[in-house]
Amino acid sequence: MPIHSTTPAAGGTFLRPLPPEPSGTTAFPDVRQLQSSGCFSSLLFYDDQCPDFCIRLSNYLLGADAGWFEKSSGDRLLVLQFVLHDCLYYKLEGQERISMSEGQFNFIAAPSISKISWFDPANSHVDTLDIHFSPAYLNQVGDDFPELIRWIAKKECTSVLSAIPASVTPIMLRMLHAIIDCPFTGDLRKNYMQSKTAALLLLALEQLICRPARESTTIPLRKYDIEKLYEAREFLMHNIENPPTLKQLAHKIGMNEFKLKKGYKQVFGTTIFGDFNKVRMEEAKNYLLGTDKTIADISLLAGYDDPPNFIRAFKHYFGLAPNRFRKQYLTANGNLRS
Amino acid sequence: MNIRIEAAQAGEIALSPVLPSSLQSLQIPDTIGYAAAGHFGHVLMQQMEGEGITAIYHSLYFTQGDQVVYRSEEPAIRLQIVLHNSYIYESMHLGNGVLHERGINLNYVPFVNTSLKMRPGETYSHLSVYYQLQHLLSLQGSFPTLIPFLAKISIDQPAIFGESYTTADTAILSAVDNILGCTYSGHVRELYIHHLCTELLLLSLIRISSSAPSAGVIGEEDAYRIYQAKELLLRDMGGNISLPSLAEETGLSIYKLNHGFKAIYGIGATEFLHEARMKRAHQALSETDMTIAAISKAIGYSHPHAFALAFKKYFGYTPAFVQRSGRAISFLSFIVFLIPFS
Repeated sequence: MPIHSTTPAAGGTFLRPLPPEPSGTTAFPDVRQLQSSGCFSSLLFYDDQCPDFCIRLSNYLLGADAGWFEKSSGDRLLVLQFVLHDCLYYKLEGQERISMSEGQFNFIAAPSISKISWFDPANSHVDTLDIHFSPAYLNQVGDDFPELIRWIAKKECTSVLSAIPASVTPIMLRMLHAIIDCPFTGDLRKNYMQSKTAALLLLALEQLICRPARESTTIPLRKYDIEKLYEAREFLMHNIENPPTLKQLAHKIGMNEFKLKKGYKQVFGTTIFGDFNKVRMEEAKNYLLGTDKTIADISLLAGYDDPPNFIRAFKHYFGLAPNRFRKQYLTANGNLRS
Repeated sequence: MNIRIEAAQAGEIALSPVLPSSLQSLQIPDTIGYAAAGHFGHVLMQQMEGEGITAIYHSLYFTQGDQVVYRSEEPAIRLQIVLHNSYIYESMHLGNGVLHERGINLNYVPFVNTSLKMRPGETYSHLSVYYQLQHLLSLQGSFPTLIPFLAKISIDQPAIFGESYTTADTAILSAVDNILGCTYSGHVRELYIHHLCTELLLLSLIRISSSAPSAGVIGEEDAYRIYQAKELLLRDMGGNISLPSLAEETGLSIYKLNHGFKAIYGIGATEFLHEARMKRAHQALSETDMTIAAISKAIGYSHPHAFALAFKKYFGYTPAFVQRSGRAISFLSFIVFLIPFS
């Protein structure tokens, strides 16, 4: 099942076969290798063509979003995509972008000739393993996964099977490694890929459809840990003028920094800094509106050594600089105050 | 599979589809089991279907030494992988021989008539996978050595694929683990078993046809000493049992000990211990609530960091990764467990 990558505009990307290495030995036997490089940096694809699916290992080294489009022989692209390194995101119609990070996967359906993966310029090196399936192949498991068929039948724009990407399990990771490192050639390779891909598809569908979606960043917390986190919050609130560093706070309550950060967000829904900042900003607001103190004084009271830093932070939080905030409030409530 | 079992001492063993309560702990969910248990010991066969491929997991235990005869009228193309103990067989078609732990063999018999020697008080287990002719036919292009094997099948002659004794490698063992540990049920299970068994056949064909001549033959008694050594190693994973003390306890020379491990498992004793440690750690990570530090200590690492490095090198992912995904599953099974009561 051939998958082609094309470019929408002149001066875009051109994929060309990789010249054979002088020694004649490549890391990936029997695989079509495509590469492209230009102002956006470089792309490298390894294509494994099988009758019902196409496995593509992609290495993207990008400085900017390059914008190439994938085209299948059918009218739809049905891709099971695994992110192996760093992260990428999708843009679905009328929705915010969905990001998928290392170790996650999802099933994506898109019209043929469409751009399915988008990149953040911050992620300079992204690796993915994409398996493009033909609709006929997926229909074979239709009886067992009716959700999949119903989803494929919805012929709209780009969509994903599961709203939250699923995480790869150890057994799946072993299978992915086996597919990437497959040393065989010829028919043997085809047979091997077929049985591996089929088993991987079943595992992936089970994760995407049957398992409850989980926030990928959650960590297990015991009751004791949660008590500690409340203690941390308490301590923080009492020491707003002289805030502890993350390290000091972690030390104070006896928890490692990683757990403190992750656990805090999990339990209170906001970061430690977010919480701290909120208190600080509310306090600054009260000074600003309730007293005649200068901005410089208030910034010191709010724990900022440097007024410009305070002004920037205030503006970021309330959307207005402190002096304008004060002026607006006073004009609106001028009568009351006098 | 219509299999009849008869033992020289215990007589005809009648298999029943109802599992005796003593064997229920050995049961693999969603398999068709046939079993017999009594004063003689027990016989348990658990059958898994995979769209034309049948896999049977056999476990045997005899309190008294015995000679057990398997009979079936049906022709069988079967891949046999010994998982526990040494099978000393006398087959009407394939002659006499022995398959030690991890030994693999692909053969064809027009009908089954095999006698196995059971030592008293020992447990035996192996996996037999029965393939159809078409599964092999599609592969003969890739394996020229399959052609004479298939030719013998076509004229109904017994045949063994490959000449030298072959042991299973890690890829084959993990495929077996996946088959036995499959958590699906219904049709998805059949599909999954089918694909895993196809992969197993491929891996075995590759292994058998590329296998170098084995490290040498090993006698029955020496094999049992190696198993003893293995048990000692596995029991005392945390302590540092040395090769000399192991040799002393089992009555083998250090040379014979290492040589024996190589002959049976294809790897030396040290490597075997490392493999066992890594597997035990993997299991503990995904099935228990033990911390990584506790696990690394239990399998004999003095520092968790060294353990994590070794683990990553062996499996390609970190212990924490297994713990995260493993707990997700146990969390799910907890929900499933609650539903009937709500």
